[in-house]
Amino acid sequence: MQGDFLQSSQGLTRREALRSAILLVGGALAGPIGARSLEHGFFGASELRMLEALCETIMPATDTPGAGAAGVHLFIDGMMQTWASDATRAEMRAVLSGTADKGFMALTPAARLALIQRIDAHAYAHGDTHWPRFKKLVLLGYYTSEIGASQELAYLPVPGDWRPDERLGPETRAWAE
Amino acid sequence: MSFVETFDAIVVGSGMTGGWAAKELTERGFRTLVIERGHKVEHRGEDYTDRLAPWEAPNGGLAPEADFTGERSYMAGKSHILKSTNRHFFASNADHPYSSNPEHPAAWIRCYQLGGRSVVWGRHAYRMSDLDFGAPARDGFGLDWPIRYADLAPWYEHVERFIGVTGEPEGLAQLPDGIFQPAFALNCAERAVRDRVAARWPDRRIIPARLAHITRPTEEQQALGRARCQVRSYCSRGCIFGAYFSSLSATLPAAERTGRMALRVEAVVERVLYDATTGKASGVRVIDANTKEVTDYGARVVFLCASTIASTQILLQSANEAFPTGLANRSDALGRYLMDHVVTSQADGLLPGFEDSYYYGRRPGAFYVPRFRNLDGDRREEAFLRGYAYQGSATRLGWERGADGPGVGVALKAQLRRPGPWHVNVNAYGEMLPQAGNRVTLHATRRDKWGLPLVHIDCRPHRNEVAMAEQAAIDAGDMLRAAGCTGVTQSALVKPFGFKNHEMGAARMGHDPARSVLDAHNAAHDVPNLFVTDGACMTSSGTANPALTYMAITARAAAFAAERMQTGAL
Repeated sequence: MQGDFLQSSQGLTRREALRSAILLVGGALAGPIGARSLEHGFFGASELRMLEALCETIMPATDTPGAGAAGVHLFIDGMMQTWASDATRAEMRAVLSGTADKGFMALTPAARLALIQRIDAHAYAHGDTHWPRFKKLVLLGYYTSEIGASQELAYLPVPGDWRPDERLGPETRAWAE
Repeated sequence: MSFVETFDAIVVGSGMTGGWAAKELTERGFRTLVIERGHKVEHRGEDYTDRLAPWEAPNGGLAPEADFTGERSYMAGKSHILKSTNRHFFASNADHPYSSNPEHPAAWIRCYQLGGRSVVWGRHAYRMSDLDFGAPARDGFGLDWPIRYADLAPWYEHVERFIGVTGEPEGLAQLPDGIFQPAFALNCAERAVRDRVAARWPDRRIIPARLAHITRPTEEQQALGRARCQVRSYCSRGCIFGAYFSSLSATLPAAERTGRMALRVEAVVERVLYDATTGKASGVRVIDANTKEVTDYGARVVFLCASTIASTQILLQSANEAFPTGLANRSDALGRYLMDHVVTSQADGLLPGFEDSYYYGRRPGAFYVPRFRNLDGDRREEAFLRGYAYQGSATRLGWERGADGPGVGVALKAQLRRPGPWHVNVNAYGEMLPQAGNRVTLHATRRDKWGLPLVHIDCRPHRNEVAMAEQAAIDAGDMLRAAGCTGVTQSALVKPFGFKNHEMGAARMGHDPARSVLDAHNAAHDVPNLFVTDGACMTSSGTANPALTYMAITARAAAFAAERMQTGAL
């Protein structure tokens, strides 16, 4: 059933595993381990404020926290530093500035949502690739966060079994992985 | 130079086949040196990242974009495999450059650490059959294998018992049954696809994938510290449970506990040393990967298990007065007849229904469609020789689907909280015909950091692959449409050499020393104590994922070499 999990008996904490992984994969990471409290490094201060609001509009707080609480804007900032190509950096910066140019920050939350819905619908209707790539990053940041994976979705570190045909109840959540 | 140390056997490479050679030779009483060019990795040690939660994996789990265009460009198109959690197992092009024909750029996937690609492999394990071993003799294309299925059958069984393979017996001539542990069962969507396809084409079967995972550990597996698969699908990060087969979890520990295995890591083999007076290999010369110091080791037998291209490279580098074009290359076959499963045609679609069903666990594989084309060996059945099999799956789309179309805000979040529709995929593994012009050579001028010539790969598809890819795409799309899938897309795909990770053939086995490098026991025709048992030995490619065959061939050859050493013949 969902919610069941097996504790590993090996004794290595996530903290220790993460430390090893950092050394191995060379990802730049600042701030306390396990938290998404990176010092911002790619986006400027006003860009980051805009990004935070934009992420929260796309993935808002509902009965579970939204992208803001999950630090998705900081995740994306980190991705620009350690994952993105130069082309992708330019692309994401352009998506942000394009949204800013439409007066996003001056709007009420309801008006912000309406604007983003228009931008979103327009992008898919006209085969734009930049907005979908940006949205994909927002979703990645949210659903791989502790909030997104374990509160919004169902996270199961060690399933232990394969059961091919469980019944999907009205409250059953999608697996985080 | 004199030998700093002499062993009964030297095994070059510690991966899929090197581990097996080490295990069989040491268990049969022979002191064996295993030489690995990469660094040491401890099973369950700090290189394993399978304990990381999604929020602990760097970059949300993604490998940097620059990997796919630069440092690990051979993984272009494989972002579903190369991740931030396993990229440290994949060699950097900057450190390990290679050359290929710019008109047909090749992908050479290398994992240069203890265990090699057995740490990150896909774990599908299928036997080849006499449909494969007998194909060249039957249709006349290529060279006859010097062995048949009956020669390998006991060794397939030997390997399967040790490594653990999940599956169900099916009684198919083209895909022999193995010794199986309980399979990961098909889900309801897959069973529906299976039944609807079978109703339309009774000869097209959809079966649970056969996977090198433990689901019911034997005493032997438990004694090695291996446990039952916990269904996490973190395999390529390294598995603390040792549940999937790798050299690290199984064969190297088995060899080590005999007390007869020696290990030298971070050592690049420059050449096999040859004694012209005896006509035998006398040992190997290695270059320390860090200090570049050169050392010679002696042995009664040498096993090249460095992987297809690397073992071939060593033989080419080992050219001497007696063998000016490469050691054991009297035939001129060395380096030639390269193959890979370049036909990768596929189809995708959505399967309506089954909304109330959802699976529990992240199984390590889904289903397999055994080859159904040209089963009689009559080439006139199709526009191409030989055939293809498919791997496939039916899964419910996850949160990633949120970026596939419009949707933001509360509505999007609510939608992604629930599993999405069923998505079905099948992707082909098509046999590639051997061609003399498809070859690996040593670059004339470019050298690596150890002063060794770069590998140059020149391998292109031919008419048979193109024709096969077309039909494989049609068959894939037809099956999904017959299953009731909507929005079916199908693609005829022929990928670059190496993309599918199944490169093989450059030191092929054969009866005739004038046309092959190796005999029926994988010994070089002209150097009786030199064995090559990795993918280089393959005379034809078949459709099966080849690792199980490489392992069975290795175990058989090691047993043969051991027997020859016991009688004093070697």
